Amino acid sequence: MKDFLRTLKRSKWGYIFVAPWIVGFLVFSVYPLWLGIKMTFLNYNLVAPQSIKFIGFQNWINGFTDPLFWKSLVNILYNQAIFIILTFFIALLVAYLLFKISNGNKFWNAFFRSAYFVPTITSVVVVMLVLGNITAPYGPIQTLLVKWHILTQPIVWNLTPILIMPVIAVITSWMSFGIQAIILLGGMGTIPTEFTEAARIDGAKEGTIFWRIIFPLLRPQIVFIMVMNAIGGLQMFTQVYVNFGVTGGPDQAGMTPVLYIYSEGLSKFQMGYSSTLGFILSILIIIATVATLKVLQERS
Amino acid sequence: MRKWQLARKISYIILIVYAIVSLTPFIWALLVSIAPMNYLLNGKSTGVNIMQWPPEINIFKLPPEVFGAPSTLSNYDQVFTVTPYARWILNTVIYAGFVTIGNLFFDAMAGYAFAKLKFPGKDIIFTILLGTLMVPFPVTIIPVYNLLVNFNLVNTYAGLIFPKIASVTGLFLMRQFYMSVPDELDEAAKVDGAGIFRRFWQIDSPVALPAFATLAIYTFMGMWNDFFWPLIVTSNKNMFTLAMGLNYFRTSYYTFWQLMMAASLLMTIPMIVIFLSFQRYFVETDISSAVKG
Repeated sequence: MKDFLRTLKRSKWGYIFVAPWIVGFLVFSVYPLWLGIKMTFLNYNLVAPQSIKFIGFQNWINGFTDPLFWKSLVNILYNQAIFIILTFFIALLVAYLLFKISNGNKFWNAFFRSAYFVPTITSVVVVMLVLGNITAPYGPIQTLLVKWHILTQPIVWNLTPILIMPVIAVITSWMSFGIQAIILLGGMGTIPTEFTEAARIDGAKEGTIFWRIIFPLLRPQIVFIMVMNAIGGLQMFTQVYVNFGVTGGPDQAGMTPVLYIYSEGLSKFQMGYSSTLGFILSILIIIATVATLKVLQERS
Repeated sequence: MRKWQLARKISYIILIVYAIVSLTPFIWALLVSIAPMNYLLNGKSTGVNIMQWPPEINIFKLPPEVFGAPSTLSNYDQVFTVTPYARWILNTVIYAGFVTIGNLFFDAMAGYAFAKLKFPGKDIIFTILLGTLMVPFPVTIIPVYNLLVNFNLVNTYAGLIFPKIASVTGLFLMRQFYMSVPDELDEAAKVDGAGIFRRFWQIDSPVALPAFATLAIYTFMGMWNDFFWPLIVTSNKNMFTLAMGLNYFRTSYYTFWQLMMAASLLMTIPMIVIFLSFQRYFVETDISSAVKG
C-alpha cells in the first residue's frame, strides 16, 4: 500500500498532464462510438424523437442493399482512379525535374516550390469556386477550346453526369500535386548520390536510373501518399457539396459516401440510418488502408 | 554536355508551365474581382463580360482596365456590406485561433508526459490514443452532432472549438520532438531543483520550438480552411466561418462572381502570407523528413 502510494505520488504529474486527453478521449471518442453503435439499431429521427424504435439489424440490411450508397461508392472510386493516377504521375515528374535542377539557380528553385504549394494551402471551397468559374461553359478555358475547334460548343460539365467526377478529379489534382511532389522530392533528397553516380559511370541511361534506382527507393513516400489517398479520398465531401448541395447533382453522379451520410443524417435527420452508413464506410476505409499497405509493402 | 544543357532547358520549361498552371487561377480570380459589376449607366447597361478569354487588359490607364472596363475595388467593399463578412472573419479567427492554442497546450503537455515522465499505464494509454487515428472520421459525425444537440452547443463557439481542441497527430508530433531532447538536459535541471513546470516550460519546450511552430501553422491553416466541421455545427449566418460564407454569393438564379472572387481572395491572402513567412516549415524539412520508412 505504501509502495502504491509512493508510485502514485511520483507519477502524479504524468497523470495530470495526460488527464485532459483521457477526458477528451472518453467524451469525443468512446462515448460517440458507443452512441453510434446504439443508433445503428434504432429507427431514430432527430426531429421526431418520440418515434424512436428498436429495429434490430434493419439499418445494416438497408445500408448494404441501398443502391444509392453503392452508387456513391462507385462514383468515388471512378473519381479516385483518375485522381490518384493523374496526381501521382504529375507529382513524380515535377519532383524529378525539381530534383534535377536542385543544384541550379536558388531563386527558381524556391519560386517553383512556392508556386506549386500555393494551391494546397487554399481552401477547397475557394478552389472549387475559382476553378468552377474558369471551367464554366463560357469561361476562359472553354472559350479557348471552342476557338481552337477542339470543342464544337461549350459543355456544362456539372450537368453532364459522366463528366462530373473526372472534372472534380482534375481540379482536386491541380490542388494537391504540389504537396505530393514536395513529399517525393524529400524522398529523392535522402537517396545517397553514390547510388546514382555509380550507375551513371557504368553507362546507365537516365530513364533506367530513375525507374531502377530512384523510384524503388521512394517506397516510404509512395506508401505514405497512397495511404493518405485511401483514407482521405474515400471521404471526399466539400468538392461535391459546394457544387451540388445534398442532392448529389444530376443523376446523383456527384454523390459521394460522406455526402450521402450527411444528407441522410443532417438534412433528413435519419440519425440511425446515417450512423450505420458511417460504420459501413469506415469499415471499407479500414479495409482499403490495410489493402494499400499490404500491396505496396509486399513488393519489397 | 550539349544534350545535358538541352535536358535542363526542357526541365525548366516544363516546371514553368506547371507554375503558370498553378498560379493562373489566382490571377484570374483577381481580374474578376476588380471587374465592375454589370449596372445601369444613363439607362444603358454596361455589360462587362468577365468570362472572355483573353481578358482585355489595359494597364496603362488609370484605373487600369480589365475586361474592357475600368477596374474597381468596390467589390471588396461590397463583400463587407452585403454579407456579415467582418463577423465571419472574427468567427474564423476565433475558431482557428482557439483550436490552435488548445492544440499547442494539450498536445505539448501530453507529448511531454509521454516522452519524459514515468507513470504506470503510460504505454497502454498512448497506444489506445494512437489507435483512435485508425477510427475514420465518418463514424463519429452523427453521434458527435447528436451530442452537440443534446448539450445545446449547436451554433456556439464552444461547439465549434471543443471537439477539435486536441489532435492525436499533434500529440504524436510533440512526443517525437520531446523524445529527441536529450534526457541529460532534464536530469541536470532536476538535480538543480527545477520543478516539473520549469523543466517542461523553460528547459525542454524551447528546444522543441520548431515542433510548436509546425503544429501551430498546420493547425491554424487547417482550421482556417476547414469547411466540414463549421457546416455541421453552424446554421446561423452570424456563426458562419469564411469558408462557409463563400456560398452566400451564389443564389439559385445568379452567381455574383465578382463578389465571390473578391471574398475568395480575401480569405486566401492570409494563408499565402503565413505560407511565405514560414516557408521553411513547409517545403524544406518537416513534411519530408516526417515520412521516413
